Order: sequence, then C-alpha cells, then structure tokens
Amino acid sequence: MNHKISRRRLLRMAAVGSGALALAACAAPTPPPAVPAPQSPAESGDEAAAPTSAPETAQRVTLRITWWGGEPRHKKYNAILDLYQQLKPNITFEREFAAGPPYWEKLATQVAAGNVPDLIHMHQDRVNEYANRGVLLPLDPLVESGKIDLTDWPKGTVDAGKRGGKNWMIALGGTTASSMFNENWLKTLSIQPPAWTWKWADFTTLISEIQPKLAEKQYACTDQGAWSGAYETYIRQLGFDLYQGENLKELGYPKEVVADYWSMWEGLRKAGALPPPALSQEFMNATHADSMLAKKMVPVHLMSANQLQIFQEFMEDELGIAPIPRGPKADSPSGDHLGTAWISIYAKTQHVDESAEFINWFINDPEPAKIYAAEHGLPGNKKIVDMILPTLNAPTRKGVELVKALADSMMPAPDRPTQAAQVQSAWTDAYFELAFGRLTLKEAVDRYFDDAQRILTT
Amino acid sequence: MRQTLQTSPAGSISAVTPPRRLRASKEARKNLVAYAFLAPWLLGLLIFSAGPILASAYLSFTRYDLLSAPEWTGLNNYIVMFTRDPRFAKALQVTANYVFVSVPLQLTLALAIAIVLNRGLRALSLYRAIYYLPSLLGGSVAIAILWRQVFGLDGLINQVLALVGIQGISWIGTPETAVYTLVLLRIWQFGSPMIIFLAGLKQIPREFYEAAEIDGAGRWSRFWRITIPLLTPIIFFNLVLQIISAFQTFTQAFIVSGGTGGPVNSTLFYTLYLYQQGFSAFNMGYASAMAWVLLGIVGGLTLVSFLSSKYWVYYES
Repeated sequence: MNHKISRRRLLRMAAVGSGALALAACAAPTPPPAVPAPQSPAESGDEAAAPTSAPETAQRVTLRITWWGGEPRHKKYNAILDLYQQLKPNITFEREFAAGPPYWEKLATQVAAGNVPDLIHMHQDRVNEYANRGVLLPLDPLVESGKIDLTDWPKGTVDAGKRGGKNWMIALGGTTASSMFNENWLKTLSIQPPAWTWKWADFTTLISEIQPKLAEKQYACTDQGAWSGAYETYIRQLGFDLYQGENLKELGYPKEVVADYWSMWEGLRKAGALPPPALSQEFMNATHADSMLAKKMVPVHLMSANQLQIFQEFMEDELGIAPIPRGPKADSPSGDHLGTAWISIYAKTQHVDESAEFINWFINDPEPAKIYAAEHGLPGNKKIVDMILPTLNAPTRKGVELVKALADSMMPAPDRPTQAAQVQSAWTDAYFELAFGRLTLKEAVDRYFDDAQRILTT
Repeated sequence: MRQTLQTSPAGSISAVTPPRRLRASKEARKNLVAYAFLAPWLLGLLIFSAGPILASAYLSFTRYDLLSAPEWTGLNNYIVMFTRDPRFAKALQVTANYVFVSVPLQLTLALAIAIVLNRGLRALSLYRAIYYLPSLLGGSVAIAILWRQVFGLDGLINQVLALVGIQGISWIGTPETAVYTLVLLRIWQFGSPMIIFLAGLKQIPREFYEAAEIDGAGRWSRFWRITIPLLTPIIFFNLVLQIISAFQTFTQAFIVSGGTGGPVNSTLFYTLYLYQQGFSAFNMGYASAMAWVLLGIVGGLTLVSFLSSKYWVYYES
C-alpha cells in the first residue's frame, strides 16, 4: 500500500476544500456581527462628551441611519452627522440614503432580510405598516424618561407620531398641503393673491378670472385634481374619513363627493383654465426645475408647503403661499394634517440609548437645526422655531409660517390601509380617463369606486 | 456523494472487482475535480438563480408583503389575476400590442439595413458599428430620458413638425400615441438582429444569385426566392429572441412614464405592473405569480414559434 500523497491528490483536496469553504460561506450569508473592539481607556474624551455615560457608552458604536431625499438634503444630513461624530468620537454613522420611491423599496427589502438600520426615516402614510409588524421601537419609555425630551413640543405634533396610543416616530419638521402662486405674475395681471381664508368657490373664481388674461399655452392652474394632498383635504373638510370600517376596508366618503370634486376640475378644464390632459401627463413627474410653475406655464399650483423653497430656487418671480382652499361652511374642519419626515428606531437595535441620544440632539439642539434649516418644514421644538425662523431664507420662512398659522386647526393624519397607494392609482386612472374624455363623469366615478372596493377587499 | 457510494461497499466485495472499482473511483475523482472547479459557478447558479426562482414559485402561492412572513393562499393570486384585476388584463393587452407591432417592424428594418450593408460597402465595419450603436444605448436610462424630451410637446419632433406648419401634440402625454414612442424606441434598436442577419446573408453562396441572374430572375424575385428562404433559420432565431426580449421591456416604459405606466395605463407594460405590485404595493406574492404567468406566456409563444417553424423555416441539408 502506498500512502504517499500525490501532488494530484493534494491539489484535489485543496480544490474540494475551497469549494466546501465557499459553500459554508454561502450557507451563512450574514457574517456574525462584528463585536465592537474594546475601546482603550486612553480616549477619555468620550466620557466627557457622553454625560449619561455608564462606562460602556464610551465603547465604539456604529449606528446605521437611512433617509430619503435629493442631493442638497444629503449634504445637510452628512454635515449634521459629521458634527455629531465630532462631538461623540465613539459614534460612527453608517449612512444609507436614496431618492423617495427607491428608499421604500430598499427599506422593505431590508426588513425582509432582517437587516434594518438602527435609525429609520418614517412617513405618516407608511408608519402603520411598519409599526404593526414590529419593526419600530415604541418610543414612549424614552420620551417619559426624558432621553428624548419633548417638553418644548406642541402636543399636536407629538401626538401626530402616535398610532394605537403608542409613539412610533418623532417629527423632523412639519408641513402640509398648500396653494402656491406666482406673486409677480398675478400682480402684472392685476389679480389679488388669495386670502388665507379662501374657499373652494373662491378658488374656481380666481382661476376663471386669471385665464382670460393669459397668453396662449399658459394656464391658470396645474391640473391637480388627482393630487391626494388636495383631494384628501377636500374630503375631510366635508367631515368624511378617507377610509372606514374594519381594517379600513371601505372608502369613507360617498360617490357624490368625488363627483362634485371632479366636476369642479372638469369645468375648469373645459374652460381652458387647466392644461390639456396630455400636457398634465407629460409634466406629471417633472422635476421642480422642469415643472409648469417654474417654467411660467401656470401661475397657481397646489403642492406641499415645504416645496415652495425648492420651486423658488428655479424661479426669478417670487412665490406666495396660501392654504388649500377651505371647506364650504365657517365651521368646516380644516382638513389639513401635519405631514413631514419622521425618525424612528428599529425595534431590534442593539443601541437604543445611543439612538435616542442622537435623536434628542437632532431635534432639540440649535446646531443641527441651523444646518437642517427647516428642511422638512416647521420644527417641532418651539424654542428651535423661535431661534430658526429669522435665520431662514424668505421662501422657506413662508412655508414654515403657513404651517405655524394652520397648526392649531390641524387634524390627525388619516388612517390608511396598506392598499392606500393602489387606491391612489385608481383615483388617478379614473380621473384622467375623465379628463381625456374616455369616460363620462358618472362612469369615471363608478370606475373609481369599483376599483377601490376591489383593491381594498382583495 | 458519488464517491462514498462507490467506496463504502468496497471492503466486502474485495478481490474479484478491483480493476473496475479502481477505474470507477478514478473516474469519480476526476469528475469531482471538475465539479470543484465548477463550484463557484454552480454555487452562483444555485444561490442567485435557482434559489430565487424556486422561492418565487413558492411565493406565488402566498400573500407576502416583505414585512411579515408569507402566508399560504393557494391559487388565490392566480385566480385574482385572471378574474378580478382589470389592470392585469390591461397590462397584458398593452404588452401584446407592443410586442406584435414592434418586433416585426424592428426585424424588417434590421434586415433592410443588413441587405444594404451586404452590398460590399467599403467601410463596412464602420457602418456596422454605427448602426449597432443604438442597440448598445437603447436600453439605457439616458436614452429613455432623451426620448421623453424628443417626444414631448416642446420636443424635437414637434419643432421639426412646426417647421412645416404642423402643430404637434404631446406624444408621450397622449394615451393613443405614448406606447408608439416606445415602439419606435425598440425599432431603433435594430442593431443586434442586423448583425445576425448580416452574418446570415454572408453565408448564402454567391452562385445561387449568379445562376438566378443568368436565368433572368430580377432583383425582387431573387430576394424572395433565394435570400428569404435561405435566411429563414436566421429570421426564426431573431424572431424568438426579440419576442422574448420585447416581453421583458421595462426600463424604457418605467422612465418614459415616470414609473406610472401612464397616461391612463397606456404604457403599463407587464413587467412595469409586476414591478408596481412587487415594489410599490408590496404584493410580492402577486408579483411572483405574475412572473410565472409571464414565463408561461413567453414559453408558450416560443413553443408556438418552434412548432410553426417546420412549415416556414428551411434548413439547407
């Protein structure tokens, strides 16, 4: 018997071995979490920076944080996180960011994979999905213990982050649906900008007054009849909920409401005061720079108040702001609700205290507030508001002041089922079928209700 | 596995069979080495292709929103798709229309250009490269964005039309025309079938044409009686390939409609709707079911192409 290991055999063993290694590596796709290297006590500066410190807070901690936005926003976030890392050298941020829609795709995928960042940016329309499935940490204990200090916050803003009695997220600003208009342009047409108490009837009057004074290929207002910000406000002003019933499986309003609303827009469209539907479609996803408002194709637009500053960046004319037109009666509800970006903590984070400490600093400290410059609208902390308001540029201030003025009459954010986004698509589809004249008003409304009902019960 | 099967009973059998056993185990070892070298690729296939494919087959029978565990619902997704989802039917119709209009036009253009290029042009490789370029670019996001601009109300097309006094419309904003801007985009990417046609044309022996010419056949009849019949295997190949790829069109529709499939669902391609279901509505189970139905459709069409091929495809031997 010859037990000598031949070269060939050795090679074979090596190859099989590496194959097996690869197999093993693939069988455990997530490497065990890196144990933070014990911090040498030499870096004593950390302890001073972390006043709540038990000894272990001086340990090196990596916090993963994720947010959505465009380039200017990413710059602000990076500056804020850099500043925090300077203050707390033991904290390192792993930063993940994306544009709006991909952000949610990525976050859902991360949840599916159990690979969720410690600090998550949240949205009032999505929070139910995540909170109900145990992805988010209830923040109430942290708020009660003062680790996240909300004493200088209006109750309404704090409550807006609650669902089912628990606090899941903290507002990073505050904005709401609004009307924007090109002030210079209206002045040359000698038309008075709307008062902040204007109603929907005033809206149609204003639009109808503007249109005859415009040139060809100019329209009094963008066709925002399919924009949820406006129509949801309208519906709630009439006292209806958006959804109702068990698990919110029903629309909360009758067909007449939709028919009235659509026929108002249809009337303006037929009068030529709105762009033809093909044009509205073409501009539907245009960037701010390429929008009809910035290109001076329309003097009036309905959009979230915090976007006024973004439009303004691409315009010479000055923009003014007003609320979404008010409901029919003097005591109609405002229909407004606070919308913004919010911050939440992952339920299974290893770093609850560090995450809370960062949030507390982010929302209550003047330094990050200066860099953030009301990126998402009116800050929650009243002291920050007073401090920041004079420092903001004029367009940002306009948006913030509107939200401040509306804050007291704001309603809680509407509850939505998970299919809400599809129901929104159904609204848009039916609305534009009507706009293109492919369906009559009645057919379009019926189509919307059929589709919505099917989506909600499937 | 194979090795252990071979060697474990070895002790009991002993003396009679050693040469065979030796050969077999040598063979096995050799194979094993080959498999070891293949391992990276095999693992990639298993983990990144076969695994997800099987997972999606399973998910297609569940309700799965990514955030919570999949919940078995049997055939429900498939039933909903075919009985209760008008947008699914619309997506099928839009896609079928797109495929059956764009693919024949694209192949016709590719063949026409290939025939021109086959005339023995001097700088053939230069022209070939130029005409191939759109195929490389056409699937890109940049071109899709460009397309939006070109076919917009103030786009290039309308500016040209304005020169001759025609008032254009927003081609991408109008439901009746939007999908045809995408058809044009596909036709424009005629490069890769053209290259294949060109190769096919070069294989047709010159003598056939010469003989036909002597017999007095005109250009047209030479084309119909020599070029086309001898090219049918190539046409068949291109047809199958392009049908499959046309059904999978996604990027262009996504960019041109801003991800909505608008105006009023006129560019709601199958894959775009699948994506919306999966990644906007988070109906991953439904999206998986849609993916399998798409596989069925494309597989079915390919099968039909193959079955029909014996009636119209001529192989020389």
